[in-house]
Amino acid sequence: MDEREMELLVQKAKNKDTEAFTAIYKTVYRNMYQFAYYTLGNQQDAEDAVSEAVMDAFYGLHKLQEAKAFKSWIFKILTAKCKRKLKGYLTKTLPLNVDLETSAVNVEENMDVRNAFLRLNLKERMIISLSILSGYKSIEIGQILHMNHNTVRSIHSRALEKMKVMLKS
Amino acid sequence: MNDKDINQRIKEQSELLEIPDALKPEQIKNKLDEQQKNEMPNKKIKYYKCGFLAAAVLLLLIILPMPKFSGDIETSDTIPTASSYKSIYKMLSSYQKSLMNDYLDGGALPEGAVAETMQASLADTESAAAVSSGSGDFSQTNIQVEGVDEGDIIKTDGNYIYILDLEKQLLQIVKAEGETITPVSKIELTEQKDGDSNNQDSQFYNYQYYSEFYLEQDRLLLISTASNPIYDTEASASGSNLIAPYWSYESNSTIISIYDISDRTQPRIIKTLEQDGYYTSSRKADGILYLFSYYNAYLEAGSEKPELYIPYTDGSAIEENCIYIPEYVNSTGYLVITSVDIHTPDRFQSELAVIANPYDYYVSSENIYIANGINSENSEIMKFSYKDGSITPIATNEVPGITNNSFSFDEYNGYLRVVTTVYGSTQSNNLYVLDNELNIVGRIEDLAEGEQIYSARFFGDTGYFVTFKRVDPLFSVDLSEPEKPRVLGELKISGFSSYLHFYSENLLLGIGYEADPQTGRTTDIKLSMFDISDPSNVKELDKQIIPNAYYSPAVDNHKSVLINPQKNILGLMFYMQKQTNTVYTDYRTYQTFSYNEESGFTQEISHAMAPSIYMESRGLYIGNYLYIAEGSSRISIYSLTDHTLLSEWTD
Repeated sequence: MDEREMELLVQKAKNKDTEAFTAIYKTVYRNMYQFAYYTLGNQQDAEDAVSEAVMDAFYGLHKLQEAKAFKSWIFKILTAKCKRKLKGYLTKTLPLNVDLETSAVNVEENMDVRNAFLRLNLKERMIISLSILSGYKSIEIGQILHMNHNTVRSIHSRALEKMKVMLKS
Repeated sequence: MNDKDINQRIKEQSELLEIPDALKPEQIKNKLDEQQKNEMPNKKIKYYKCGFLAAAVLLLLIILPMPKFSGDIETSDTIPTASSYKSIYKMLSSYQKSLMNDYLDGGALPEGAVAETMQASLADTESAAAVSSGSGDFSQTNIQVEGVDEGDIIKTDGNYIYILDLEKQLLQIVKAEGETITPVSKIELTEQKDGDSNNQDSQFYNYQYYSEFYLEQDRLLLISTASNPIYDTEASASGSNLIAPYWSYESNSTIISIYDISDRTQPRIIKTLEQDGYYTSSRKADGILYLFSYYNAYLEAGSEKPELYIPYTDGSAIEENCIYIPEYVNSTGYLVITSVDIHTPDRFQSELAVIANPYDYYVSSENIYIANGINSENSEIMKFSYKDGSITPIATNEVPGITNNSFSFDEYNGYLRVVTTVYGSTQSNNLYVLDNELNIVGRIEDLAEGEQIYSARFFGDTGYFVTFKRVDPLFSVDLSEPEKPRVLGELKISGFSSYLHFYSENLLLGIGYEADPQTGRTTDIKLSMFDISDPSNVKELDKQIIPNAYYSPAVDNHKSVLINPQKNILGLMFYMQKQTNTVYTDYRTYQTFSYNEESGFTQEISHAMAPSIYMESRGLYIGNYLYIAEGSSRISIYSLTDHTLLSEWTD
């Protein structure tokens, strides 16, 4: 989709043209779901986060000033959705966060990348997802997550280190 | 396997994820069509209108030509204050307009709100007494600058141990007498602020989370950030009357809760002070707390509502002449700085705000320095004096590059030394010496191209910093002539240190990672001891690699390190992983080390920590007892004489 086409679609979608909106959505929904899934580590929550973000985006599209920024814009909404869910996780301590527990994992059985990824803690997953799946830089991630970019950087590299250890076999 | 491979594999894996049907474009379209039929546009959005600003003035055109200053400094490099709230609004919104595509969502990456205008109350000057008291020989939080205290989650005063347990939502006070721990009291903390329980979104914007605390004689200061949802008072009673959906604008306030703990069994809250913005950092010096928060303005409601774009402290807006506008408006938010006299905390003693994008905070024994991010290649450094709690802007100047953390700064004899990394197509590293008005008087630039700074530490006329890509050059720099800093030496070893600590006049300790010199890939955690007796010929005397340790909080949080060279003790926690056949096991240990030049590092205590998810831990000592606190769940007491486990207390 070229820029002009995108602009046109956004313009239409701003006028609540669901067809146009869906066409734009088509270009990002896979990445959105991947991002949410890897951040939250839970299908249902990921689905909810994406669908909430999409609704908010549709109704708030008039705030998007430049069509070509659609992707990063909708990712920011999605990030906010995920963050909210994460805050809920943090207070409730879901069983999901197995990463730092003394846990034995049978490598041969299920130690693929996805599992390794899900064994990272929430912050690490969030940062990796933001950087790999939506392409943010550490300074931008820091702004989104309200963290010092250096902390972002060190968590990022620590997370990759952890994954390397988990994946080496 | 390198990072690129991992990235690639994550990407590939994620391609395989099955997308739930409900998210497929057709389904989404149906859902939208359905909604369109049933209701008019969502009420959440009716409040604002886009395109509210006609004149899209490019940034920087409206700097107020009025370097009006409370101090008597005449340099032109001081920051002008605002003339009116409306002029601030104009500036913020024109910046917002000019923002690049990434930040189009109507503002608001951050949050917050602070303010208040106060007369300084006279502090009782006796409070400047030494921080330590009690039995004398006990550990303090590992801080950067002597006399400038930093908050933490676990502290001791020599008699009691105070533990902020974020998992259990409480602050536990226990009495520590030798090997006996006696619980004394608990302060229960609530995470969820009262909210509208009928609104399921309410949990998202009614929360309070705790960061750290301070001790000052019989006072305990607890710092937290709370959501501060802004409601539209004119909205109808039906439905959500939040002024903006929580994802588009998050408003926070930083809360200091001051407890009287003269009776440790009954901590009593005596004062709560609130400033706009989420908590970013703080320091305590001479009985006064200096608090930094970041407040993001909400501009969509227009210039008629200053309560939405001017930070408040203690319920009132910061006055125009206390709001500073830097040369580069680079943010739609403010750094808010306040001071509180801990002994007479009836109000903020001093407060001000600066439009900024602050990212590092360094406080010397006299001044506050803030790194304000302009872009990935330049920072502005802002300097404020803070004598007796009164915060005064002194100067500001721009330097190339980004600082690594507060250890990238050091003030000595009126000069500020700062090391930065320029992130660009080619990375490089710089050192600058700035005089007391922040004029750059000396510089070394373009060091270690392609690398970045991982740690720095200064000792009088000498500075040390570590850059890294594949091997670790530890640079030593002579700063005895501020105008002519020069590199004295460059020690190349494998791995790198991300924390440096002077262990004695001649010894510098580094905590970091070992790395493969061929690939630069980091392996295990490493401790290094450098001989700095001749700064032009620094040597790595000893190194201790901790096998299986893939991470230690010490590498990015100096406060997690227990260190006292006089007592010859170093304590830190490790995250470890070992492999038996095909099974990996994760575990954590707390270990202490001593060091002497003959035998190098000696591991003395190795404590297996309980498996847990997010538990923050610290080691502390009182006299000859080491206390390892794993949150407030377990405290293990070791003898520092023979390193045996004496007893264990669990809650």
